[in-house]
Amino acid sequence: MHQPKKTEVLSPDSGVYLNVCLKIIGILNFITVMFLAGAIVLTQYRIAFSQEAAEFVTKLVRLPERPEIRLVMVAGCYMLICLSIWVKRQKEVQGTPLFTALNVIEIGLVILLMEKIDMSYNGIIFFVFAEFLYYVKESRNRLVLLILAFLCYMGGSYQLVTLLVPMNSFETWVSFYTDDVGRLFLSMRTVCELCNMILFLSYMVLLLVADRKENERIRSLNQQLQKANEQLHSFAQEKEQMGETRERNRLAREIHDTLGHILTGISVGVEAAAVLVEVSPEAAKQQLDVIADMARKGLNDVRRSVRKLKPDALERLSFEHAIQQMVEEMSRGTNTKIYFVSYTDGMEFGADIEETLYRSIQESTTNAIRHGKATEIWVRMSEKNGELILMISDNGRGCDKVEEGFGLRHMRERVELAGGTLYWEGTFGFTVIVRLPVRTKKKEERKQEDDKGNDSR
Amino acid sequence: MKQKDSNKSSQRPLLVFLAAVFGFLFLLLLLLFHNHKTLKIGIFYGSNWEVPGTIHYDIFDQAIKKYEKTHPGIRVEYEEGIPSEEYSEWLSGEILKGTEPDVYMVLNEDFNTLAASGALEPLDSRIQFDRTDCSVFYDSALRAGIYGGRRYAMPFECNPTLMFVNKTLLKEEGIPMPRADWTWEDFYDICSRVGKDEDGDGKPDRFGFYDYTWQQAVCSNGIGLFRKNGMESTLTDSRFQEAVRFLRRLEKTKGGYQVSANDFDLGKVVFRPLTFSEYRTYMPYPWRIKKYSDFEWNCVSMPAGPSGSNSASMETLMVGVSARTAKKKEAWEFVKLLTMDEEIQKLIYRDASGASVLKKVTNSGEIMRLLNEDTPGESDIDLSLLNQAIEAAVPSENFLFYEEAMEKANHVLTALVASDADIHTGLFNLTKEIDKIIR
Repeated sequence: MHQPKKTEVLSPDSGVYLNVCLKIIGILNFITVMFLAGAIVLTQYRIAFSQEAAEFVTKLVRLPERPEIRLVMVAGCYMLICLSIWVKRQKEVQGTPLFTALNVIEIGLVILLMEKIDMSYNGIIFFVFAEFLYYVKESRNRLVLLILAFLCYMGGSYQLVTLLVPMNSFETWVSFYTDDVGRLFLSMRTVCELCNMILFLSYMVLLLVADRKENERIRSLNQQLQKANEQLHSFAQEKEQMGETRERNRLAREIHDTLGHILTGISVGVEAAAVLVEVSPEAAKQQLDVIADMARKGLNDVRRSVRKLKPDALERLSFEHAIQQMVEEMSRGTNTKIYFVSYTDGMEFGADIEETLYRSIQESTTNAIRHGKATEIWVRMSEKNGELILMISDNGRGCDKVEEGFGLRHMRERVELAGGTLYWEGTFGFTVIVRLPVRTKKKEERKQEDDKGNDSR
Repeated sequence: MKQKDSNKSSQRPLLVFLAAVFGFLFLLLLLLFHNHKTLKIGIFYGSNWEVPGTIHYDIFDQAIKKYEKTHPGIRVEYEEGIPSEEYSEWLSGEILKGTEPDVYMVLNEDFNTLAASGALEPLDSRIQFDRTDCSVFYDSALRAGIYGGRRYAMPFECNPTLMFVNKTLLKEEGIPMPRADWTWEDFYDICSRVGKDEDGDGKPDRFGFYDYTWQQAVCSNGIGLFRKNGMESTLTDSRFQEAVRFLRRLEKTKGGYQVSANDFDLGKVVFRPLTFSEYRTYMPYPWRIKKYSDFEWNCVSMPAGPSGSNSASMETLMVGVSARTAKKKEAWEFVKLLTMDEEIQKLIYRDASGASVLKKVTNSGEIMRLLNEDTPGESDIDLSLLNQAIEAAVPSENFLFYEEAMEKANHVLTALVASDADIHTGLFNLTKEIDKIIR
């Protein structure tokens, strides 16, 4: 039995908590990066007007970013990251290449943003990875992502980056101020970092809890499904047995009602005739006539019974009606438009011909839908000079070379058995043409023929 | 129909995102290129070589006029009224505010910091691309703009060091003017002959030299304090020790008396190293009367050490392009105009106090006439002397901790020259301290 796929979205309440947590992380990170960018920009201006600029510039290891560009870049990058997260939340985007592209863009934006605040804060990596984790369901992938997040967090720290690319540290900027003010700036950054870390850990816990709940829910759903399946299975078996029993009962009833009745009558009549033969041969003869009559009637009854046992639509409905019904059912069931036109004007054919035509239509339409992927099928039936022409064509794929499979061969055999021919052609869609010599007859004749024909069955 | 609808709705977030990205980029470009028609220049008034009477504005006005003629549509402007002594401070402040000029003057002492911090645009590729002929410059001036193997600034004006000679004093002593290729021994000889006690108070009252430092001695002995881009000091080199030993001998000729600048002004000292800008300022009419009125004087090149030549240190005023300017090409063209245009460079001899960095300009007879116009009598400067002094000059070395290391070395070496301590040990100890700074 198939394991049902894990659902795409988390159960509603845990999803809400996770989103709220993520939003708080987002807001906190925005405050932090804006605070840092603001602090650096403020310091830049204060130094510029302080008469200590030349001395301070010697402490810088690289050209500081222009204040207005710094602010615009930090705010802009952050907005774009948030916007990208919003776009990724849209259902239509998930699973498309755009989704992957947005993830890459997001990482690029984070690096750009961190560079613009001189790598003085790397907690934003947690924000982005927390958001990535939202989409990753498999626990192993999640672990890989988590390790990656911590690696990035370490790699994004000022101390490591400055080994490769010299950067002005936040401490350098803050060193401009007196000890108290400087310490205030540094401690504010530390508080932000700690809050961010705590929030990220809470997010992870929430994610794990939600995951466990989710797993439990899935397990219980699985169990329910299994139970239902089993029930269904036993129901089906029961139903099959019931059907068998009913059929057997029906057969028994029919046999009892027809054959039993007749045979009882015949056996009683024959016994009586046997007695009468010695007393009055004339009366016995009469009696035998009655019995013969009864046997004939009985035979008719049996025939009727056998016909009743046949479930075929052909037996119950008129020929055209039966085709109409089949075509409609198929049309409904497969979303294919099937047009049926008959120019035979209510003609009746022999049972074998009807059977052949019926099966041919059935087989051809099935082929058109299954192999040709047709959406429209035309069935046309006409009679001319004692020859019936049935044409089934479709707008499907068609094909130049068709391996005659079981279906087609069977159809050909049937048609040839009825003395007809079968052509097919697959250049434009697929077309099957059946030509049959026909013997038309009146309704009464048909009934008689039916009775006769039933003998042979 | 349904499919189309879903396509549309899946594109909507993407469109919003793209719109935001474009809006953001537009804002950035707007901030970066908002005044692309104006070229800002950073200059100062007054001389950066601490002599009165220099104003660069005229040179720049001429250059701007010329530039705007060849570059229609571009306006060049500068902020007036920044005194030279506040220029570094002003420039640093502008860099921090992000509003630094596109082209600015670079003082010798700021060059290392500016180049190291990336505030200056490297110019090598532009020079290569333009096939700029750098051989028109004095090589010594050109080398001043190199930091870490790359060129960050072009020389604009240079200021070599020359030896001032009190001709009156020499005449009184019966000593002829030293020749242009004189050596340490000649220098020592004159100093020891001059050092006399005439009034009999036990102290000499005529002196051989004032302000001849270890740097000048080392420089003229063929080495600098550092080599390999400032990765190593040369203190343990034998030539360095030779220079220190010579200084000590020279110091003895003063008989323990501390000679001051005032003694030179009063005409009691024969030699004093001074810069070309000082020569130009104090030689002509108004200043000459004020400062050195009692004696005739002139200048010669510095004395050569046994392993070196008649070279001395030289300061260079440079022009650089801001690394952040959006008008790099225009800025570079303005720099070329300032530094390589002969008409503009000639103006240096008219309005500024230094020397032109172009060989052709400095060597032209026209300039010589201009220089000697106001100088009286025999004090003419010899044209070949200036040319030779600039050519042989040693630019200051460019690495980040240069100033700090120099300060330290200055302190220790001055004490070492004045004392009797072992020179070898003293230099060895200093090497360790300098290494601590430069590594």
